[in-house]
Amino acid sequence: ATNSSSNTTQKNIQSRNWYLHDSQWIIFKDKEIVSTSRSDHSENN
Amino acid sequence: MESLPGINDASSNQEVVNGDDEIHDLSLKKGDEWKIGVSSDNKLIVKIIHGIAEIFGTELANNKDYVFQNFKFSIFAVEDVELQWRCMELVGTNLSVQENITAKYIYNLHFALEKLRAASFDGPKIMIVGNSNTGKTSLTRTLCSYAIKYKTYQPLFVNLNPAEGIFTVPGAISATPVSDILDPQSSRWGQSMTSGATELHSKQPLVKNFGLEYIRENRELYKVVISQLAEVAMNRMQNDALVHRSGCIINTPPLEDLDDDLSELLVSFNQFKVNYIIYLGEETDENFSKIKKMFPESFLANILRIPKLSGIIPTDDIYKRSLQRSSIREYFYGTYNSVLSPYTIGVDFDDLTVWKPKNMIEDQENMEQSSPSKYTSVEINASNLQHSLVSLTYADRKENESAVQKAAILGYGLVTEVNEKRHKLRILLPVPGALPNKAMVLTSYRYLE
Ligand SMILES: Nc1ncnc2c1ncn2[C@@H]1O[C@H](COP(=O)(O)OP(=O)(O)OP(=O)(O)O)[C@@H](O)[C@H]1O
Ligand SMILES: [Mg+2]
Repeated sequence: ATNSSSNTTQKNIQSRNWYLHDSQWIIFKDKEIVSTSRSDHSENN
Repeated sequence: MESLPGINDASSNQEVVNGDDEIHDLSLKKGDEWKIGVSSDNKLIVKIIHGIAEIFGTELANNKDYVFQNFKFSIFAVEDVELQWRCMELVGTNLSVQENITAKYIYNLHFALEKLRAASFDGPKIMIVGNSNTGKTSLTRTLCSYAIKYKTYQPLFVNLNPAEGIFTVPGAISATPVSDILDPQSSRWGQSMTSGATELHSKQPLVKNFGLEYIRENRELYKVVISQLAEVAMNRMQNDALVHRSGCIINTPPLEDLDDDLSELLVSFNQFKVNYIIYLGEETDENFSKIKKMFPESFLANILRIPKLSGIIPTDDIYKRSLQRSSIREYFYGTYNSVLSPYTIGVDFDDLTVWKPKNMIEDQENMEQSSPSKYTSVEINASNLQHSLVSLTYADRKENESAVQKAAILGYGLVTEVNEKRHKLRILLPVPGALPNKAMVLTSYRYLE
């Protein structure tokens, strides 16, 4: 059986961002990025 | 142009996936690990039917297909595990299943770190060191995974081995807060930041460019770049209470790659204000004695030793190079599960300013040996730039070499074509839009299909 969820993400073509400047990275909070499709392990958080 | 790098790979993957549909069952006893190597022209699909299994500390979900390619890793049974696998390459071979005899050391180390995190807002900063192929990167990865497994910690993972492009390309060193689980399918640990949705929460690395393949090619520059990474990383820790409490876990290059006096290690130790060193190897190792001698008596209790990990699968340069290629390809094209669309842009020779780090070994005769960390300027032509990976800096094109060396890194580009007659070249960029009007730095890495 193929994994349907990986097929959907595959069609969803995205691009990368430039890296943040050092000064922005210092104040960046990782929890502010919200991914729409969470991992299977998210209940552990 | 015939074909873009990466495109061919993606199409051939599809065929491999459908190649072998024979499903095999395997049971692993609690405490065992299955050591696996899958080549780049094969795929392994694994589904855990029952029980808890981990890859480098990341737990696998039950009844989900995990797909592996060009990866040496092991599946560790935390409890008795029943799984199914299919892979042409492994059919008819003896599967290597053995007891993981070093797992207990990793658990103990993890619980010691948990105690330190619980006891202070200033979390433990540990550096993993050892000879080549002792399990440094695997241990770092497992400790990062365990740290986020039950508690909302966000350890800062620091990679000081420029030969391993983790969350970024090879040639770079990086610091990345680990804020969500690592992708067990990825030899490069998973995705770094992309726009839009990714299957796993992508990680935001701080990247500094060393740019050469071997540390010995410019040890001075390597130390400068470590200090620059550490300065920003320590600043982040001061500003981010969660990362601060979680501490940092530093992966280092094999000791064989360092200078005889291991001075690179000392710089890393001082810059990151490391409070524990974990040595992977034997009590009798020459390098272990050497390291103990480098530090004052009062610090010796903070140098801990773990035997070389039992899961180790010896690797060679061919495999390491293939991982470097995967890492460059992933930077531009993403992974099987989250495909990225890079962007090719045509530019005139006159629109570029390119610098490069000095290679103190190759350029010995014709280059002044003073100020080794100073960049030199690169003439734009095919032999210098064709297929090469370049870093784009935040420094404007007209800035001097010293400002360029100190500048933050915007990202990487790949020169796909150099047309000397027309004075033009084509660069593959990860982000759509115009070429940023910034200074570039040539790396020693080349990539072509
Ligand atoms: N359970 C395991 N523990 C350790 N290593 C493992 C395990 N399973 C597979 N391996 C493989 O063993 C190889 C060597 O491990 P690793 O890369 O962690 O060593 P290293 O000390 O970081 O090597 P280097 O000095 O070259 O950076 C890797 O290919 C790794 O994937
Ligand atoms: Mg390593």
